[in-house]
Amino acid sequence: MKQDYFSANNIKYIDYKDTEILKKFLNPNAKIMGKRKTGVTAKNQRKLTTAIKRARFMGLLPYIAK
Amino acid sequence: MLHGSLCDFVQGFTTNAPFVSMVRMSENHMDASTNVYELSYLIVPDVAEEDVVSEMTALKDQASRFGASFISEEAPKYIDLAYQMERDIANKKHKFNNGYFGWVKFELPPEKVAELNEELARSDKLIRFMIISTVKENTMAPKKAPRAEGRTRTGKKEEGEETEEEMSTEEVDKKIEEMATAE
Repeated sequence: MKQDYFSANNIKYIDYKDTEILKKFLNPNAKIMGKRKTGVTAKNQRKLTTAIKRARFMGLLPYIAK
Repeated sequence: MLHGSLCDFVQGFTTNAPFVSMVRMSENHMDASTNVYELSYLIVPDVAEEDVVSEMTALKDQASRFGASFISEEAPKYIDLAYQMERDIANKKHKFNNGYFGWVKFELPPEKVAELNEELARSDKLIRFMIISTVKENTMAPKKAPRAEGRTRTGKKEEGEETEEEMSTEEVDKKIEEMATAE
């Protein structure tokens, strides 16, 4: 993922309920990938992190896997 | 001395800056005097499937008592939780692996949010809930068309070409037959 996924797909708001999208940015241990790996802009990476943490709190995504 | 005073000035400026923007923000919201919030919740799985809707309306009633006007919502759905959750209900620890997840978006005066939060925290029917500030528009990304499009297209093309060839050969055969009968 070289280019920003969210601007490429015209996603303005990163919603914590879009778990299928958020899962793309988790590694096999369910840790959040770094921005070097995701290629997401700094602004969107911050939004992404918030969304993932919200999804984790509501039990939609795991904190740890494996 | 000069440097110090400059630093103070700069510091004062930078610390004031967010305050100014906050004031502006509140001015913007002054007209409506409400902000948009989203309440998402996990209802305990012990509730029967048919009673979940009534639980949802009870939650909405709670919110509307604080003056909430609803924008959009999604009915609670039975989901497998990503991890086991624990919650004390009536002084007894309960463990949950499933729950009904739903959300509702509404407008509410900002000063009422804390009160709503407190009231919801007392509920025994909720495993967890979360109130976040959001925007009126739909924040969910539109669902994309299935990705396998490319593959099927190439497959179809090949099939199409084959059928075309077959058709053409059949046509040729027919034409030959026609020619033969004509002769």
